[in-house]
Amino acid sequence: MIDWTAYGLIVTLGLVTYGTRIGGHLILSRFGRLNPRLEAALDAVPAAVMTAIVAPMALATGPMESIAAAIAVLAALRLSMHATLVLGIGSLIVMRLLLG
Amino acid sequence: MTYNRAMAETTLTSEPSMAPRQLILLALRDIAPVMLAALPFGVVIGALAAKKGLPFDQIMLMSGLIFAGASQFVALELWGVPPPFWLIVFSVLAVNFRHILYSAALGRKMRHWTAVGRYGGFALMVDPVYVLGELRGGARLSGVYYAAIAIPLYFGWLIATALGALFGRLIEDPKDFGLDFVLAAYFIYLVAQFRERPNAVPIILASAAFAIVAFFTIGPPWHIASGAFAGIAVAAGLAGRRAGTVV
Repeated sequence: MIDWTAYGLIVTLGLVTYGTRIGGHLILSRFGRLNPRLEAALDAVPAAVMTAIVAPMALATGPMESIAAAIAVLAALRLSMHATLVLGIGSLIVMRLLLG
Repeated sequence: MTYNRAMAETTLTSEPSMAPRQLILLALRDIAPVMLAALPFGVVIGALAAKKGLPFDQIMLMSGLIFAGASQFVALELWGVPPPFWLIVFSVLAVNFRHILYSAALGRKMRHWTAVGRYGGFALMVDPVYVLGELRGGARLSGVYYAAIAIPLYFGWLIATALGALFGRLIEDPKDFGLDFVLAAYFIYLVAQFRERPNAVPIILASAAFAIVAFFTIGPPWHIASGAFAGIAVAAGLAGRRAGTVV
């Protein structure tokens, strides 16, 4: 017997997710001109959301992860993406090997 | 000109004037580290789904239709026989709520796209695709660039999920290679690239503070919405004042 509930659930989850991916645009496209406060709020979305995702990973996982995150922040302010990844991940691997 | 020096890579915005070949090369270079991070994550999702007893076709359907790792993980954690339908639907909605903000923000740069391109493009708008679109897009995001980051990531995600579903039991702990931290290091890099936007520092500090507090009080996934809205509220509150971003 085929479990149609599971298929129905997966399709529903896909639709819900797609709804979130078009929802903001559908709402905003009803306004012609955006007020400067709304524009500023939208310009803040990438930094605000990314920071919220990464903050617990960086600050609440463990001391080694926090140190590696601090190294990644310094690298990100001065160096390239690849250098940031190598220094951030590399420092964590070294710490885990030595102190792990 | 900290902007130009520190953003030597990112000043290569995906201008419509760039040749398609250049745009595609830039896109592939941008998405490569994301795929490195997504691969073990997708394998873990596929393995978890198989462990929960989902048949292969349902696992692939899930990755193909949802294409949002964190929410798939939450759905699978709650999965049972039979699965608690509405609990899973609302949990996935909570985890994916941030996409509403993404589509509002990035949609402003996609107005010159056709409707089919725009609504097809939104289907593939996962975190790194959104952020790279913001970073490289300028005022008018290139559709070629967007397609060249989103499509490889989508198929990479399907392949990773399939590998996890088929061979998940053989995979070692991703922690052994620091792979669990690739995404964190990459997101840290991306956040830093937005530091020249108005009031970036207070926005980032507010977001981090509220995310951490929510993480320990209400618990995940609400830290994302809490931090995001704190940062956005700061941005709206400070809008119009002289931008004083000094890093």
